[in-house]
Amino acid sequence: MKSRIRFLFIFVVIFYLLVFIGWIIANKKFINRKEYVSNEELFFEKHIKNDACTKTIYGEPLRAGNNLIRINFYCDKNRSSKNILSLNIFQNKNVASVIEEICRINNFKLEDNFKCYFEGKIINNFKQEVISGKTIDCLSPNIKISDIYKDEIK
Amino acid sequence: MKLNNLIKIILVTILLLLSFLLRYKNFSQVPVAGTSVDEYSYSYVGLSLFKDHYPVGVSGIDGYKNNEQRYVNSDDLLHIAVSGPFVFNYPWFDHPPLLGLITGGYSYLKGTRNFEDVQLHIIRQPMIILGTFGVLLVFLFGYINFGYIPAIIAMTVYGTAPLSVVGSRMVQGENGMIIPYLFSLIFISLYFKNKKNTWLILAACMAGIAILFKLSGIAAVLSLIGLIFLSNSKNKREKILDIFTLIIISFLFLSLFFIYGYYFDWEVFKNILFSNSNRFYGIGANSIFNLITQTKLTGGINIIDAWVLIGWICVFLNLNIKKYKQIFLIIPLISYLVIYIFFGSYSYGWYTFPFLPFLAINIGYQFNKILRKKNMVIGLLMGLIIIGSGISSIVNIDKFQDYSKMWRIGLPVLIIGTLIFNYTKLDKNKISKYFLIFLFLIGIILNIIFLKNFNADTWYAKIW
Repeated sequence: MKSRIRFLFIFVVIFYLLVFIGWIIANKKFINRKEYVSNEELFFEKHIKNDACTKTIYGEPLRAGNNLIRINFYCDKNRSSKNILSLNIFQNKNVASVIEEICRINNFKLEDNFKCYFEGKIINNFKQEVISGKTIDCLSPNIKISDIYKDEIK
Repeated sequence: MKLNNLIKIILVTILLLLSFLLRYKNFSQVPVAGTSVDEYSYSYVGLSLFKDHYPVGVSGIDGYKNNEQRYVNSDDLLHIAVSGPFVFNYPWFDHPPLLGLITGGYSYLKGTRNFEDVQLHIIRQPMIILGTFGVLLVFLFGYINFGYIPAIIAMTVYGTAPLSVVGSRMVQGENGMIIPYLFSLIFISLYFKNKKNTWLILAACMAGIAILFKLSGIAAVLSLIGLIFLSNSKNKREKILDIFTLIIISFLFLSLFFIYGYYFDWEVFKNILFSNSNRFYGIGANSIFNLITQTKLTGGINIIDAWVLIGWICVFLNLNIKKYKQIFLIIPLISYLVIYIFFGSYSYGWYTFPFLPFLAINIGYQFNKILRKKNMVIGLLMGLIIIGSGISSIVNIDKFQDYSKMWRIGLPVLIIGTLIFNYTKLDKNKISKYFLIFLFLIGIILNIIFLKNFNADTWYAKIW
């Protein structure tokens, strides 16, 4: 019995000694954990392709409520990508941020000849604020905005 | 080495290889990506610990200071399965980090440096190895306590049963926990056999490591306490000393999780521990009924697997055995059942995975008994449950109509014939034994056919 207790005592002491050494090493070697902030590098890597219409984000964001934005890309008459993004993720809720995020998620770089519209009106200032529940449409040169909204126009 | 022993080792090796191949086949396809966000979250935590030395993961539990919503498109999830951004929290304390360190660490070694590049194809690879290793441990535990035949039956069932195979591919704490849990039972069995303290200490260490995979691993400590308490030893003082040793060592490992929490953020750690203890009791009052009758893989998706039901029937039959060995069949299962009911939480399939190795061991023990006693009636009924469900999982109901006449007439004839043979004691011959082995093998072959054809297409078509 005595030998077992002695063994346990030594076991506990060595165990916590190792933990203590680990703690010291972690404190010296690793980042300042008190001031940790997450960083872009941890989450993402840039993948860049040119086609805006290969992918579409699945479903509607569950926790967003009405705080969402629709963003559609029309590459030609038969090919489009319709997406809904939660606005909760944006610090700057402007058109540029939304387009940048969708490009990142769907892995493409928006070509310069695309024209973008906010609620049917052409966007000249990409820093303009977006409004919850509204739609951004970006169109390749082959498509006109009236082609998309022709049903509504009728 | 005797020829007999060589054949035994070859059979174990073949079964192990089969178990590995079944787990490996389409492992990154099914369960399909997005079935459980936990798979990614565990790996994110491990990856962030390796990369930034800080645990960042997906949670959504109340109590975190840092909540960040981010669209992270691992495995193209945002285009196929997940709607909306993930809620990232840090420091992440939902569970102990050991499984994350394994899958995230493996991913890191393979060159992954950001969450978006985490892929099931990579993070499930260590799970395949762990799952296959679990099959070997089921054999060893069965072999040490019940002999070769029950062990080989248990190994075959655990190695090929659809829920065990498909479930073991998932990055879930339970799948990690099963390994040290089984190790602890093997070591304690060896301790009972030769009374060397080293085995007791190893068993305690393994029970402690089980907790570092998931807190429900505390069931391993409970199992060991139960086994020591009910062991053959008549020396009460020795039993108390053994239990004391066990508790001290295993809780040293548990304390590592608390030290980890203190190191990163004690306040958040306490909040999350409290939040976890107040989680929604989703398994409900019918938890035991569902446990026996349902074979959930995830929250809402079932895989038809009659081996689970057969396992529970065998547990009930084994409860009648008045032998010391019974404790090795029942105590581990009851211990996890207690923790399963106590922890409750949502009704996800993976919470039931730790039952599966013990159900397989119960099947191994009971099937061996049925074979030895040539108990045709029980054997046939169990065989028909397994074969019937096995057929229905690979042949849809429309196709089955072609065979319905054979089934309609053949089955009653088989059942009535067996009953007559049983009452007239004509079934106590070798042919009966071979017939039961034949039924068992058909069940195993049906498992293999199902798993061979189980891929993303059949998953989405929901043909099982």
